[in-house]
Amino acid sequence: MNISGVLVHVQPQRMDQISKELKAIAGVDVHAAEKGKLVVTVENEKLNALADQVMAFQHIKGVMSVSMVYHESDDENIDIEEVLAEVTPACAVNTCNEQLSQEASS
Amino acid sequence: MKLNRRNFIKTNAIAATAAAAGITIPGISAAVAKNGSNKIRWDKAACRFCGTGCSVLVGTKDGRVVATQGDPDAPVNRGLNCIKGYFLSKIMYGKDRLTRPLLRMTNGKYDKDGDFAEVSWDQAFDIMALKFKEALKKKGPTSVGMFGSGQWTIWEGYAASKLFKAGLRTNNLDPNARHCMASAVGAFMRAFGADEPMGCYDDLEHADAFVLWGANMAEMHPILWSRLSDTRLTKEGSEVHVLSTFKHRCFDLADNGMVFTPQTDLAIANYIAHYIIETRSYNKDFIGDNVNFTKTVTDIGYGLRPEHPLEKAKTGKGGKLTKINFEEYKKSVAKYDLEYTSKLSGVPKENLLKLAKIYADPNKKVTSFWTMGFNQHTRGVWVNGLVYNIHLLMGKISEPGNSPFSLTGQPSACGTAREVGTFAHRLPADLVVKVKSHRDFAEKVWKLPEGTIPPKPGYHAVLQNRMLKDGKLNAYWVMCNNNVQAAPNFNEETYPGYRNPENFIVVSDPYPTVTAIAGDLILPTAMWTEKEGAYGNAERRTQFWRQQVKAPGEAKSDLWQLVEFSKRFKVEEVWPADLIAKQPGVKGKTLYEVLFKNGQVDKYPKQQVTDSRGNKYDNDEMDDFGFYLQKGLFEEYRRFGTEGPKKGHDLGEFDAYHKARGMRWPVVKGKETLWRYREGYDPFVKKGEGVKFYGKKDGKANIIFAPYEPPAESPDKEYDLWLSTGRVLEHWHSGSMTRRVPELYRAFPDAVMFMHPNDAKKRGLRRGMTAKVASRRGDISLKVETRGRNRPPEGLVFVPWFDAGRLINKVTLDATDPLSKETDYKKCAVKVEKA
Repeated sequence: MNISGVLVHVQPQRMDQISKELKAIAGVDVHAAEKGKLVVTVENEKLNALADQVMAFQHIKGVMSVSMVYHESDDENIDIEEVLAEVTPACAVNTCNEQLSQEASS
Repeated sequence: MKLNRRNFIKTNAIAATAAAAGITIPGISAAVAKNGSNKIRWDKAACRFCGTGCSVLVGTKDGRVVATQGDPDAPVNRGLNCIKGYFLSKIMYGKDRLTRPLLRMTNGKYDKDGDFAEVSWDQAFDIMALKFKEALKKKGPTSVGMFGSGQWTIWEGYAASKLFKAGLRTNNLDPNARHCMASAVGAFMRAFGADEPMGCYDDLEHADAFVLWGANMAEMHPILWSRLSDTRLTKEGSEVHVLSTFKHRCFDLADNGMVFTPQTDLAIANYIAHYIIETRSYNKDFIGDNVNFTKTVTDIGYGLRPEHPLEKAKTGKGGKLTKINFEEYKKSVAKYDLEYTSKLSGVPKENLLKLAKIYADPNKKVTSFWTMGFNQHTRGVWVNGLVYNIHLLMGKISEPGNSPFSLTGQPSACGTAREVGTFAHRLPADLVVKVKSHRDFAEKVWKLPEGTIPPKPGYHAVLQNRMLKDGKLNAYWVMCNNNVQAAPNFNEETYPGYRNPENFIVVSDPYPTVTAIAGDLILPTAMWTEKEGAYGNAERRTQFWRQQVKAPGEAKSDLWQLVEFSKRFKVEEVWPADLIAKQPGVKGKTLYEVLFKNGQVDKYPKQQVTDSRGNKYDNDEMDDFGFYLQKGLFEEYRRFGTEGPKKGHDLGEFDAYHKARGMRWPVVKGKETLWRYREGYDPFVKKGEGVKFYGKKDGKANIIFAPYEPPAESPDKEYDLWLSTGRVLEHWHSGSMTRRVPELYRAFPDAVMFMHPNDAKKRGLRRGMTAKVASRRGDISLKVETRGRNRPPEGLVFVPWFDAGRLINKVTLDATDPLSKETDYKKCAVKVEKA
C-alpha cells in the first residue's frame, strides 16, 4: 500500500466540482477544501499507478497546481525493483550514433 | 484511538498536506518522525532540477536512493515537491547509465569515424591529454575550450574556471547558462553594477500584484507557482497579470491575461513607463536620490555570423550608455502611447491600461517575474532593463513585495555559472577578465604569477559551435549539459562542428545523450547525490548536500574528472617561459600541484563526514585525493566575496551551509540578506543612506531607454508562422534525466506541436496527425496538438525541446542578443505542412 498527500490549488469557483471529480477516482480522498486549496490523499497498491493518478490531476479543468507533500509505503521492504522500474529503452550508443548521423545528413 | 498501519500513514499524509496548505483539520496531527522502522536514512539535498532550489529529503537504503520528499523545514518549498521532484530518486537509475569511458575506435585505436568502445580512465585521459596538447602546440590556448554548466556544483565550476582560465590559459570556457541567463546578467550589470535579484522568494507573500513577463511559472517553476497561487487565493485584492505570446496554464489564474505579438514586449514595457510619467505617478524623491537616466546604442544587429546581411546592415554596435536627463527620457518613451502600443502588440487597450495602472499605483506592491521569454530574446538585455526602468521610476524595488525578479532555469545557474563566473568574460564575484585589477586579484588568490589569466574574453556558447565548425576550436570538453540538443541551428552549426575531422570532442555525462553520441570520447559521470555538492538558486540561496550513495561502475564526478585531468599537464607544457620565470616555484610542477595542491585547496585533511545525528557519509573525492577537496575549493573561492574588489558578495563558512537550509548572500557574520540595497535589510547600506545601489560608483541605478526594434526573422509569405520553443512541466530541459523516469515519460512521451485549430485546419491538419515544421535551416516531423495546456493564437506554433527524437533545434535560428550573446529560441519563421 502506497499513500501520498497532495496539495491541489484550484480556481475557487470550480473547487466544489473538482472535489467531486477527485473523490470519484478510486483511492482518492479529499479531506479539506478551503479558499481554492484541497488537501488530498491518494492510495494505491502499485506505486507506478499512484504516480500516474497524481499526474492526471494536472489535466482536470481548473486545477492550477499540484504539489506532492508526503509519501509513504507501508511495505517494510521497499521494492527496489518497483522503484527502479522500466525506463525508456536504452539505445545502444553505436546504434544511436548511426541514427544521428543519418538524420543529420538527410 | 488505536490506528492500524494504513490509517496511521494516512493520518500523517493528511497532517503534512494540511500543514503545507495552512489549513487546520480538527483531530488530525502528525504522529511520528520520519525515521520509522524501515531503516531509511534521510538527509537534505537541493533538488537536481530547476532554479527554484527546493530542498528535498533524500531517503537512502542499502546504498541506493529509494525515496525523496519535500523538506518541511525548507523555507523555499515548505514541504512541497513538484511532480518532477517527486521522482527525483529515479533519475540516477536509468537502465542506460554510463559506467565506463567510451572512445571511438577502429582496430583498437582512436578513430573519429570509429565505433564507441570501452576504455580505461587512463586510456581516456591519455588520448584527451594528447589531443589538448596537440592543439595547444599547433594553435595555442584559443584552440582549446570547454562548455560547462549551470548544473555544475559550485566547486565543479570553480575548478573548471581555474583549470581553463589559469591552467590552460584560455577563456574559452562558457556555461550552458549562456542559453538561459546571460541577458539577465547583462541587464543586472548595466542597471545595478551587480548581478542577481535584489529581492527574494518572500516577495511571493508580500506582493499585492504579480506580473509575469515571459514566464510560464505554472509549468516551469511549479513550487513558486503554488506559493503565488496561495497568495492570489487568500490575499484580498491581489492580482495576477500574465503576458505571453501564447496562452498557457498561468492564464487560468490570471486577472489580466495578455497575448502579444512576439518582440513587442519592448514596446509594452516602454508604454508603462510612458503612462507612469504622463500621469505623474513616478516617485520623484526616489528618482532624484537613486537613479541616473541613460540611453543605449540602437540598431545593433542580431548576433549572427558577420557575413549575414542583417549584420552588414546594422548601424550601431555594442551597449554603450549615454547620459540623458528626465525630459529626454520622457520624450523617448512618448512614442509608446496606448494607441501605438496596442496596435503594435495586438493587446487590447483596456488590458494594457490595467497593467500600467497596477505599476503606477503607489499603494500596490508589485513583483514582476520573468524567465526565458525575456532572456532568450535578441534584445534580451534591453527588455530586462525596461522592466527595471518601471520599478525604478516608481521606487518599487529592494523592499518586501516590490521586486523585479529574474527567475532562473537551472539549479545553479546563479550559484555556479554566474557567481563563480564560468562565462567566457567573467571571474568569480562579478569580476571580469578584461579588467587588469580583477585579473590581478584572481591571480593573487590563486597564488599565480601576474599575467596568467588572458585578458581577452573567450568564445561564448554560440561562437564555440561556430569556431568548431570553422576548425578554430579543436580540443573541446563538454561537461554536464546536452548542448547538441540545446544549441540553436543544429544542421548548419552544431553537428558539423562536432563532427569536423579537425576536432576532438570529449563529453562527460551520466547518460548517452545526443551530445555524448556526437562526441569522440564519453566520460561516465557521477551525478547529484553520488557526490558532495552545492547549488545556488535564483534568490541568492546557497545550499549544500552530502554524498548519499556511490556512483555506478567507474562513473566519476565532474570535480574528480577536472582535478584528475589537471595532473596530465606540466606547467612547461602550457605556460610560456617568461610567465614561469615570474614564479620559479612552479617549475616542473603539474597543473594539479599548481592549482589544487597549492597549500590552500588541500588545507583541510581527510576526515569522516558526519551529520548532527551521527550518520556517516562517503566523500569519494576526499578518498581519492587525500584531502577535503570541496571544502578547500569553497574556502578559497569565497575569498573573492570577502576580500575582492566588488562589495556585497560575501558567502558564509563551508561548515555552516551543511547545517543550514541554505543562506542568501551576502552572508555577513553568519547572517543572510533578504533584500539588497536597502537600509535595514542589507548590511552594506549604512544608517541614513536609505537606498544605495552600491554596485555603481555613485550608488545610483541606471534607467536605460531602449526602443522597440524588430526581431531577426519574422513570418513572411513562405515561412508564415512564428515558432516558439520551450519546456513542459513533466520534463526538465533536454529530458536526459526525466525521460528516463517511466512515470514522467508516460505522462508526456514525445514532443508535440501546439497550434491553433484554425491554423491546423488551413493546412489540412487535425489534432493527432503528423506534420512537418520547417524553417530555412531544417525540419522535423511531429504530432499536432490543438487542445490542452498551451493555446497559441493563430500565426504561432509552440514546440518543446525535451525530445531527443524530435530535435527542434534543427529548425531554430542562431540569432543572439548582441550584448548578452544569448540565443533567441522564441522567435523564428517556419512553415507547417502535412508530413
